[in-house]
Amino acid sequence: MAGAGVTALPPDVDPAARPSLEDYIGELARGLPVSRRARTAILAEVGDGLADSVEKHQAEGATPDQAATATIKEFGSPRTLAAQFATGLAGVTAHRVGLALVCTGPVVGLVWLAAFIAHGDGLGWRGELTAMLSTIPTYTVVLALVVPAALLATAGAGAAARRLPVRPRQAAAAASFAAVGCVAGDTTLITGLIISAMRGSDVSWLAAVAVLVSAVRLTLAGLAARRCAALRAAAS
Amino acid sequence: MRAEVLKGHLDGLMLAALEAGPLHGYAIMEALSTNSNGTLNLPTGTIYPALHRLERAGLVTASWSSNEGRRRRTYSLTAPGRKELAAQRANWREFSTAVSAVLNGDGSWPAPA
Repeated sequence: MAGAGVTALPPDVDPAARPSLEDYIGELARGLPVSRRARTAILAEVGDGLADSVEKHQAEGATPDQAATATIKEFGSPRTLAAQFATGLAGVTAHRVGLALVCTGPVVGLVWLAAFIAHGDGLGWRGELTAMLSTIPTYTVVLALVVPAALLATAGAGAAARRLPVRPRQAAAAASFAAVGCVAGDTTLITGLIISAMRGSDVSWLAAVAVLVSAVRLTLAGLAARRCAALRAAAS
Repeated sequence: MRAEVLKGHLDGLMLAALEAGPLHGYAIMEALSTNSNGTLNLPTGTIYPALHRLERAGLVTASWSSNEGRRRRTYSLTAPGRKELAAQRANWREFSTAVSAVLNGDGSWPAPA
């Protein structure tokens, strides 16, 4: 995070007041596990406020050093401020991750089911679904855990938050758990197919599409799990 | 006044500060301090996450402007924000009337049927 304080502060801040304010911005940046774009926006906004405060104190007769000290006292601990930002973002991120998992789950499931039907023994979709789940029993357990966790995560923000009072940290934990479950589920499906292919079974083009779809979701779910876990840890 | 005393009222106070027109974060904090004769002196940093929360709830909108290399984020009330402010004012009047009546022991609340 080197240089975060330098770039976030407006250029017209008194050079004598800058070092303390840069330290403040740097510590705030270190407590924000968000995207670079979101972090830049938050730091620019807080940096503008710090500059306003220093100007006000200097206009009242304070030296640049005194103005910087008074400003930092006025703004409160950067760690507390970072935790407050992280708390708000944890709820929103959990909501988005939960929604994404709930929406993409049936799509990924249908692609795999289509692959099983294409490869199957003419059992019909109900029979193939049962055959798919019994072939990979772990997947049933994963589904039973992931779906409720993803639904709980959606209550981190939005309309669901008004119906189900879930704290942002709890929603982030649920989102993280659901995303890790998705990674496990997709890994199980892909591994099952690889084992089947190694035993000599034909791999249809639909199965290749299913692997591709699962690989994309697995990657995105892994990143989402990491982000949610980091926000949960940073939130108050 | 300590921040925890204001818990639950900060949203209404920020919406009220924006009623007269768009302001940036530090100006909102200054308005709260000035309009309360210095009584409402919160840690200034608190205002920014709270404003982001109001923005996510659709009660305020934010826009960036740039002047001489200085980027500034300014907030404005939305129509739902004005509605929420009116609701918070009504709730506060009822709450403060009730608490005053109980604390002062004048028996003026609730109003007799």
